[in-house]
Amino acid sequence: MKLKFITDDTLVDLRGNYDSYKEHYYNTNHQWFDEYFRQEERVIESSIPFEIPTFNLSEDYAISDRENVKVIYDSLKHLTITQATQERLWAGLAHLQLRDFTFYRLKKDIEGKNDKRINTSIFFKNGNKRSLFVHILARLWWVGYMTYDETNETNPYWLTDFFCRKDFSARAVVFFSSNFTSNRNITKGIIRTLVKLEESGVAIKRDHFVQANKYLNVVGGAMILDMLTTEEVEEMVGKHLAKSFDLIKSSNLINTYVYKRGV
Amino acid sequence: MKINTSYPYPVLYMNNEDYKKSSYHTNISVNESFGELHIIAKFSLDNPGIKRLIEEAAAVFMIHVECGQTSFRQAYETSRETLEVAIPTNALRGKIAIHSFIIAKEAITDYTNDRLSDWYTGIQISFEKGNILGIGDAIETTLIDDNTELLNLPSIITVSKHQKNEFMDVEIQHDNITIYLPEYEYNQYAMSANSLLKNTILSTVIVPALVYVFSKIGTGTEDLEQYTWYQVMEKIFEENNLRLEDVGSDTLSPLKAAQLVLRKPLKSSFEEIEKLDRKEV
Repeated sequence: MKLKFITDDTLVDLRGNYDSYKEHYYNTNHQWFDEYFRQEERVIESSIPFEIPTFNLSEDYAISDRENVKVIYDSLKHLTITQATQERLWAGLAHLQLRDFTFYRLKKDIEGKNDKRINTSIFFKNGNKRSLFVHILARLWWVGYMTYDETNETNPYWLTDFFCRKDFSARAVVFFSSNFTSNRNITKGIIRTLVKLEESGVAIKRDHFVQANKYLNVVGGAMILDMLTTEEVEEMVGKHLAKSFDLIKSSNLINTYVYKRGV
Repeated sequence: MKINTSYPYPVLYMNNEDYKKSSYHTNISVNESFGELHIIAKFSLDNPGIKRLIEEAAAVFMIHVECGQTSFRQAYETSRETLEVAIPTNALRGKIAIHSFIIAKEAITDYTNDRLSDWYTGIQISFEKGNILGIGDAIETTLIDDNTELLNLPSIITVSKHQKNEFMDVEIQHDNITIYLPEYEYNQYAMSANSLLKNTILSTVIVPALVYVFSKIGTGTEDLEQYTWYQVMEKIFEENNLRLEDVGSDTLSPLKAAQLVLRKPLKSSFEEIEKLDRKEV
């Protein structure tokens, strides 16, 4: 089977006339969509091989998002980066070959007629880069691409597993909105540090990701982070987090002290 | 990439005076062929102290390539005066920023350089690996998808039918500018696009839409720069020795900019009407 795209005109029509079409989304009306896409010049068949993958359809999105990162990245690892940035590919897949997944993943939003969320999930509504980490299919591929560790032969998805354990959608947007997380060496270095921190008993929260990014932002002002190896990033961020983690603890103590005294 | 202007150590940079009688410049050229973007950087450094560090492999020349849209970010280094890099174009899309530096390759302690500005006399200086010793020139280039012929204006503007709206609407937060027309207007537009009043109809739709678009540029462009239409417009303005960023300023109003880009559309409209009038007489 080949991967299908939608044409630019189709994309403009679906996106611009969403209000006229939204009932069909609410009704998960496959028949309407099938007829719509059967019209001439709606769909382009590419030369990219593609087999429809078996998605994890758990009721718990925390589980299925994590597993589906691997499913979608495995099945579309051969996309070029330029292809993977295209709205007509991801919007196309969401409406064509992976429409079942779209209806599954948006079940709650469809029931609640949450138009805004439906829109950002199937189209690029948040700027080109951010949309890659918001669109329900693009974000699975991109998180896969960013966290895949080919140096770990037994489980190249070990960083993915950690990254997607909880808070998946917010984490993806916050973490990958930094410019330097574009460099996969840096991304892997940060995540490896956080894995180690967790193994030492620290519960990793969004703030740990934010702290790591903040720190690299400051350091990145005086040096070119991109020349560092994954190991060097890991060591630097590790040292910083260990230190700032202690600082957080002591500043909490001060707050408690002040509070008790009623100041 | 943002370039800092102040560093906790001396940096050889054309925009500061940390060094005397010294310079660092990079000539960067790019060309695209057979699916690759070739970048050639020629470094010219006039500072014996830093030159020595490069010869001793304690420092390197570097270029840094960044493409926001595809999340591509990579640094390339060399100790020679020329560096050639080839990047597959399918890893890049839209705006690409290329910067040049001289970077410490290892920790350098008790740094001295006889061309340092007097200000540094007696101050202990050291560099860590990755610190910046010099900042050279930078360029920005734009890779436009080759599957669309984007260099003419109409292809970055799409006119489309809006089934519910009663008014024309313009959407700019995408790679193409989309003009939505109400159903009747759209049908008329589509039917008459090749009629005797072609330019007149184009102006009634595209002129106000572009005025709207250009009025948005004056209010901050950071989030618009990523879109293809912006990059194409930027190119068109550049080719005509104007700057898209200046639209909205006193010298270049959105109204004038729209007329420039469409090459005096009012004139061609009135010429059409004049011709039609003559026929009827």
